[in-house]
Amino acid sequence: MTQERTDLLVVGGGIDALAAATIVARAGRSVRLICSEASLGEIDASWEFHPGYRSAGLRCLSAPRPAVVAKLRLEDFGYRSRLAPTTEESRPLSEPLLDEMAPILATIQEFADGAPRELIDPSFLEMLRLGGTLHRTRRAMGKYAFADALRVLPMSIEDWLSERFDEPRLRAQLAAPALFGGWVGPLSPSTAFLWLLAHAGGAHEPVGGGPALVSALEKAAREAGVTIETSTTVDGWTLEQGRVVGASTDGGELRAKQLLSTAHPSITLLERLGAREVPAALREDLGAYRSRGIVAVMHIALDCPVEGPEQRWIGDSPLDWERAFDAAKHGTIPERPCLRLRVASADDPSIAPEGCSVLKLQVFAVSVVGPDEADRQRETLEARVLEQLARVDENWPGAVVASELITPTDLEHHHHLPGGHLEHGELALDQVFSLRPCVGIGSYRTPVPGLWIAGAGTHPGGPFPGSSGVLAAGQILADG
Amino acid sequence: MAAVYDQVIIGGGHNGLTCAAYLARAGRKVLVLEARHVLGGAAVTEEVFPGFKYSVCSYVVSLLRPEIIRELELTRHGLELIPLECSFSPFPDGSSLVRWPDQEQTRREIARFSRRDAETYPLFGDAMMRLARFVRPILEMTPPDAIDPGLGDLLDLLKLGRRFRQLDPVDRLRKIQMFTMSAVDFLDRWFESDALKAPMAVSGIIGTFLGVRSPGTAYVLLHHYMGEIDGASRSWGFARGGTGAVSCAIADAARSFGAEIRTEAPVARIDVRNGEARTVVLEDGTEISARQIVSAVDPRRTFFGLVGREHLDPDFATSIERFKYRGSSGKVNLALDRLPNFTSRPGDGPHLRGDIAIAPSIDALERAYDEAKYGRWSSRPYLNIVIPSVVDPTIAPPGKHVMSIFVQYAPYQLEGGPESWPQHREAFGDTVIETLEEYCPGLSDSILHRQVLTPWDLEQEFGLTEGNIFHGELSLEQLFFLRPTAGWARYKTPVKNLWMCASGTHPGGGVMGAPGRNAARALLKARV
Repeated sequence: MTQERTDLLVVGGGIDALAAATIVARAGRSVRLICSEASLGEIDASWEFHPGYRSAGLRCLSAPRPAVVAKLRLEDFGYRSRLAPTTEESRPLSEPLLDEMAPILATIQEFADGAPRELIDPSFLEMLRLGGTLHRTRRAMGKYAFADALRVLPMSIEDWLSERFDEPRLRAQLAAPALFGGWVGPLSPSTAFLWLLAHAGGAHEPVGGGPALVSALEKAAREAGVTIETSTTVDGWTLEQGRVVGASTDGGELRAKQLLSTAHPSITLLERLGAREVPAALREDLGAYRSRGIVAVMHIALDCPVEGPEQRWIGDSPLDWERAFDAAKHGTIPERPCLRLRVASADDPSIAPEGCSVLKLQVFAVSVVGPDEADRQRETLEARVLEQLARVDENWPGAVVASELITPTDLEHHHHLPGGHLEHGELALDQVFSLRPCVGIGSYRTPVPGLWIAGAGTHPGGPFPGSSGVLAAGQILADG
Repeated sequence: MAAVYDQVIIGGGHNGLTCAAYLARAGRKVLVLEARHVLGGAAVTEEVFPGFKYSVCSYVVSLLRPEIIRELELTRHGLELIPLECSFSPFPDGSSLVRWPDQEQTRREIARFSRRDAETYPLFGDAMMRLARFVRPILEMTPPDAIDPGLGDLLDLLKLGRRFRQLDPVDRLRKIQMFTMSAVDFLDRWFESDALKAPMAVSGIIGTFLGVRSPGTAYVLLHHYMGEIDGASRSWGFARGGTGAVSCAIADAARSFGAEIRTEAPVARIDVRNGEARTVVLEDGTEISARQIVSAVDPRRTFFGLVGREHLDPDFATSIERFKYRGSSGKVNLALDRLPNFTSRPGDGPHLRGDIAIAPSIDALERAYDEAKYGRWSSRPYLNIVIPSVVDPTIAPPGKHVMSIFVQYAPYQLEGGPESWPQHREAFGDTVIETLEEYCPGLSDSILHRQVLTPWDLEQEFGLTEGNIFHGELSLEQLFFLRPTAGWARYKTPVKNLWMCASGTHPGGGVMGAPGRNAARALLKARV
């Protein structure tokens, strides 16, 4: 049965999918959004992982960029933001660094706010614009600070911080945010850039985290008239005369004039399209797109209240973090996994019963393993994470009611994330902006007519939730 | 006191000598001061054991600029380069790979590991040559001023931009990837076989404290192709008589132009008055004045050792302090009473006439780096071995051989501090021999003498700060207009009349001579 043809079929239930669907629907187009899960939000959704205890998404999201909030009128749909919690002692240290680098952050944000800019084959006009951007950044920083910033960008975060801080424990606290988007340890070159990229997302985050943002977006999408169908599994794209005209799903074939997919780029362009439809050069580039996940997430239900800071970094020195990365790099389990610990129930008390708590742990660093190793990895890792928690508060291990560990292997098998990377691909100097996921599809348009791509695996990626959806929608609308 | 010399150059390494030669050639009255009894710095030949002559530190001539050979007529002054015939990589499983100058021979070798890689290998070479051609003129540039770019600097940058745009878009992307990707990630895009990738990847890490998987290491892969585009028969080779012969030929050229060279003349300090360098004071108290003083020692020794912090602007001093050295390599020189016998290719053969890389796999190389990060030398280090006596009988007694082993990683910052190196020196040497024994059983029995140089020794004996063979890490943030620091990458320093001319300046280390030549050009242009 062929259904009526919609203007745009959005495949994916995440933040970027909802954002794009909303914008296009508001322009008067008919938009249908389908996702395979029973509820929206993908990895940013909330679910009951134990009776009475809910999770708060797998990522720790920054607030969407102000332009994205405004464009989607998110605040009309209940979205609120707040200053993200940081460790008390690290804020006064990181703030001077951020102030010093403010013009660089602003430049990264300027890049993130616009459609990807052609860096490999710039037109003369684009070269002038790039020159102008550099000139403005330099003027804002002063010539000495600008030259120093050029030096800092390719450095490792540990090298940079070592120039200013002697105390390894503080350096570890400060460096940690750089390590959750790439495939790096604190000694890896270019992590200073990743640190700035992480902070370019801004100091704010959605109240209620990812799930609250998803819920606001869902309201916005429904109000705009987007037809939303959950629990719909996509098998592949339907091609007619080299053009994508829809998707085949377990509910039959859905036809549309345009199709936007927010899945991992390899799923959108290789798996669902059929490798034969992709030009050889692009197939090669996509094959080389790196998305080795090294972050696992663990939700923990505690039957006690949690005092103290809402966010902590657990890992005593930069070398501890580096050792954890080494383990993942060589496919072993770190002796002492390092942690980003969030007291998720402090932000949203409704996810835990009265007097109880939910912790969200992002565990660094865990590699993807084969099926026969998965159980052993899970057991060992769980035990080691609990040991680490006991070092924070000796009462916690005894208060654990239940826990749920999602490893990169799980992300790969159960969350459609090839490589198990939460951000749909590593953030790296050669995988950002118009190079994400690779040259030629940096502007959301794919080489196959009718097929568009957005999501964390495209410009500007995970540090800027919703941006790629809004920007892709703009391109789709401009296309007529 | 009136200036006797136009320029006095501190340090008789190959860059100091090159700079001197070019200045003398332009009619300047030049004096070179070398602390040791022998010229060459780290490009030196010494008879360490009777009858055995070693290229003690730098062991292959890789990047020596052909224009220097030509302009200084080094061949006439006795330089003779012997090309390395091949690159031989034995593996633990008894297999091996040899890359020859002959493409067809190499293709067959690689095809034993991967047919696909064998077909790709020449294409990779072509792509690298195109990119090397783009980089080559940059080596000869005086870097632009990053702080106060003048019109000339902007024009230079525009020219660079235009040349970049003239590259094919695919090459442009590759160029960007080479600056940002790791050697392994970059090679992964081309090749599938570890046996090929591992020995290729190591050229990305030599002299840095980074691993083959560290971002930014892809860039140095280019260096291997730099020589080939200059029309030299092969980019890598030995100098007959050892690497010191390069320095000696340059010194001879300099003398022929009238330069004066003194050895065993260690400099104690540079006398600075009112922000102006006037006099060089030797350790024996002799004072030598010159219109300009040119330092061929590394930036830290120059500014903190010879000038003194009190004469420096605090911000400048901080930036020099932040310039990273952290030597990561050592050297083992052996005297052998017979040729080594590799399990994978027994007996003598052309495979011993090239360089031999012990780089068993990408993972093994990465593990070697991982150990060094925490202050231990690698238990199974990367080794790069040459046996120059096979092609140059002048350096060993008949029938005997010298073997030079470059070893990475040997971190300067050992767990017990760098000063604990001397007590571990022999254990470190044992690690190297044990590693090599796995490929070359019986080697130990053929060793007549052994010299082990740790990063500490390189610092103490050769004046290389923290044992860094390149006068400062060759990492992206320390190259071009940032070497050694932004605003002072044009060979001139903030101390009036004090200049720099060695590997701590653009384009950096290796027996290349380019910093010395570029510095001389900048000095000759400068208005005094």
